[in-house]
Amino acid sequence: MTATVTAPAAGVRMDDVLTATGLVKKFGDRAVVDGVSLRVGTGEILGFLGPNGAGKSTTIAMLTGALKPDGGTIQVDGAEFAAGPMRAKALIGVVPQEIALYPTLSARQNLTFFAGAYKLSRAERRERIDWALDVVGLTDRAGDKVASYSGGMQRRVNIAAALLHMPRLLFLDEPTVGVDAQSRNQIFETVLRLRAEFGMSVVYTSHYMPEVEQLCDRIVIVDHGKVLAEGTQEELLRPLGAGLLEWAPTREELDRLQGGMVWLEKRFADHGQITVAAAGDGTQVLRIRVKDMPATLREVSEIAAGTGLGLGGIRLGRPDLESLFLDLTGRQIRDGA
Amino acid sequence: MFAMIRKELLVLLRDRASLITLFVSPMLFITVMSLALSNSFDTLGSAPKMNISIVDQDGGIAAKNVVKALGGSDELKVTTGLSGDAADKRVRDGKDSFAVVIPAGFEKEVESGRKPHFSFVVDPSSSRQAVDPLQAAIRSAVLTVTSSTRTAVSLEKQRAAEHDPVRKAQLKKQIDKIDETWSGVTSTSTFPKGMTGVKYPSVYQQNVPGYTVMYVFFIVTVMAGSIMVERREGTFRRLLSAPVPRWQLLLGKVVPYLMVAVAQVGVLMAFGKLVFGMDLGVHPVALVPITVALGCCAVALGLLLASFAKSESQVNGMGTIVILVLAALGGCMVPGVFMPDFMQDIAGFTPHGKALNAFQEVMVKGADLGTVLPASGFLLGLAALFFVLAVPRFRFVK
Repeated sequence: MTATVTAPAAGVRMDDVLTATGLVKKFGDRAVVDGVSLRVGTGEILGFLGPNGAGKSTTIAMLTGALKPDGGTIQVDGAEFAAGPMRAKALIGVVPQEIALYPTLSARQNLTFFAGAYKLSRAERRERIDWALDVVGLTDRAGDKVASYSGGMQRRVNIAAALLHMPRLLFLDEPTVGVDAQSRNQIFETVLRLRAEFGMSVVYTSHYMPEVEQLCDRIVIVDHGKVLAEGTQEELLRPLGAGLLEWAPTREELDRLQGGMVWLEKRFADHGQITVAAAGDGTQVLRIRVKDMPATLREVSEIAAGTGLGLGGIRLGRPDLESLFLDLTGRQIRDGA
Repeated sequence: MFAMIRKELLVLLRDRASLITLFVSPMLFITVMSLALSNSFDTLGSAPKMNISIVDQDGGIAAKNVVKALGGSDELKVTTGLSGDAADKRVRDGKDSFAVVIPAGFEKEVESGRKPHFSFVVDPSSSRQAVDPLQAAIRSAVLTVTSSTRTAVSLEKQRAAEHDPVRKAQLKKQIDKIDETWSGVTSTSTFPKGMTGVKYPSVYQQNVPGYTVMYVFFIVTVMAGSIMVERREGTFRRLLSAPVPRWQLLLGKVVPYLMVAVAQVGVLMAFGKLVFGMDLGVHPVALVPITVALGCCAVALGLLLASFAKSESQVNGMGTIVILVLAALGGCMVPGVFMPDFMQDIAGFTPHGKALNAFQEVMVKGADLGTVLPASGFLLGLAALFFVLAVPRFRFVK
């Protein structure tokens, strides 16, 4: 527990601890996971992103041995999962989306029970439990019933239970659902500490974009059971340009403007990829994925001065995963599947 | 407020499990309990007949009249023409409540004025409440029949000696003497060959094993509910990701409940013994295989329920129905002797009925290990069937 592995730089290719190829899972005729492939390098934090119902949890269930895939292969540390599931399982730790604990038992009793599944010696078990409680900051409440904990504390015990056998790869499935900001920060710190001190690889599943942006080296975006995009944050956001500019003139402004929205569209033709969408109130929104933000803003200023269009309908957006998802699917990530 | 009432009714109407619990369960219960208790509530004219057999080892007029009189009874379904052993077997097999044996020499006793004696062969596990009144009625019927037979025979003899005044006077003297000393009939009760036991089941020997069997099966909902919670809370999912084979996880879930079921029987039997002085029979060790088999059957049924139910409310609804209906059918609530024949036949095929009967065999009839093995095997067979049906459908995760 004293080994220190330097955090790898984002985007650097590492030895893969997990490789999944063409995973398929069907429930009836419906393919919930449809050809998902992904890889996780040693010490890497992989963000696994998608709206509710995108197939994230089903993919994780297959990757962790809880569900048998209908197609595809999984390798853990270079060996086929199916050929040696017990060996593979000994290398992974899983923090389920649910608080997968026994609420009437204390944190220590829960951890003792789960440690038993990994055949640790009595001394090893005691040492690991003390260490895991320390990692999640719950040493002083270890004897209390889990039911008496706050939601955030329960989430932290949930994580501790997955660390007892010091896995090489940790799956965190929506670990911050329903927790306060303090517990969320604690969970982030724990994840970063595990990577930095023990070289642990992490698959971090979430539909909260800022968490993934903050934590993950690489990101896989899934929807409807398929991988939509994969790469580092930089790689993923590059096609979005320097940012997003939305201009929604009022109906009166558009009526006054000779040529209307078509004229406006032409003025920005060289500034990036343009789309015009209908707004809810019958007006239209001009959306530009901007190549050079200062140049585009200068153009906005000239148009406003020349036509009398107001600047109140202008919104600027930094390119982020939310806008990427919107760009890929036409939907907000929290709209659901 | 009306909106809330409307919403609540709508929610309730869509909750099939609750509707089944609220409406179907009591209907089933009412049906089963009414059928089970129908004998106790029937009027004299509508009561079903009780099975008995009569063994006539004498063949005299009095014995024939007794057979004729009992055979004509509205309350009895009498089997005649049997040997003593055959009647014994029918009682032992539970086909007859008891047998009436009229021994050889009965006629001579009637004629001589001595108390004619006959015997009952009774299943020691029969309820006294059911058997005693009937035996009393039969004793009374035998007394009446033998008395009238004796009178008729006497008169017939006197008539035959009508033309011999000396003989007639002698006969009259004899008959008057017999009339003075005539004091009825005597009877004794014995058990069928091979069945030991010195008493009928006490109220505790009915209620303790009866309710023990019933409450052992409550483990069905407790265990299935616990499985549903593990699915909902994700603890199964976590354990599936650990290097533990699935069969071990399944056994790890089943075995503790089996231990609880066995402990439950132990505690309740000890309670019956220590608090009420309940007799555990001459071979109490024979209770062990029944207990283990009963526990296996209950936990396998719990596994089956958890495999088919989709929610915790379904587990509670379906589990309660199964437990209560089987308990009522199996004679846990109402002794089998009060039930009509077809209900008693059904009881024999329920795990509850089988286990209760086996417990009573040991406690009341003194059955040993060998005797209860078939019933234990039946329960283990049922457990295996439930297990085989459950495992292919069992899911650790939702």
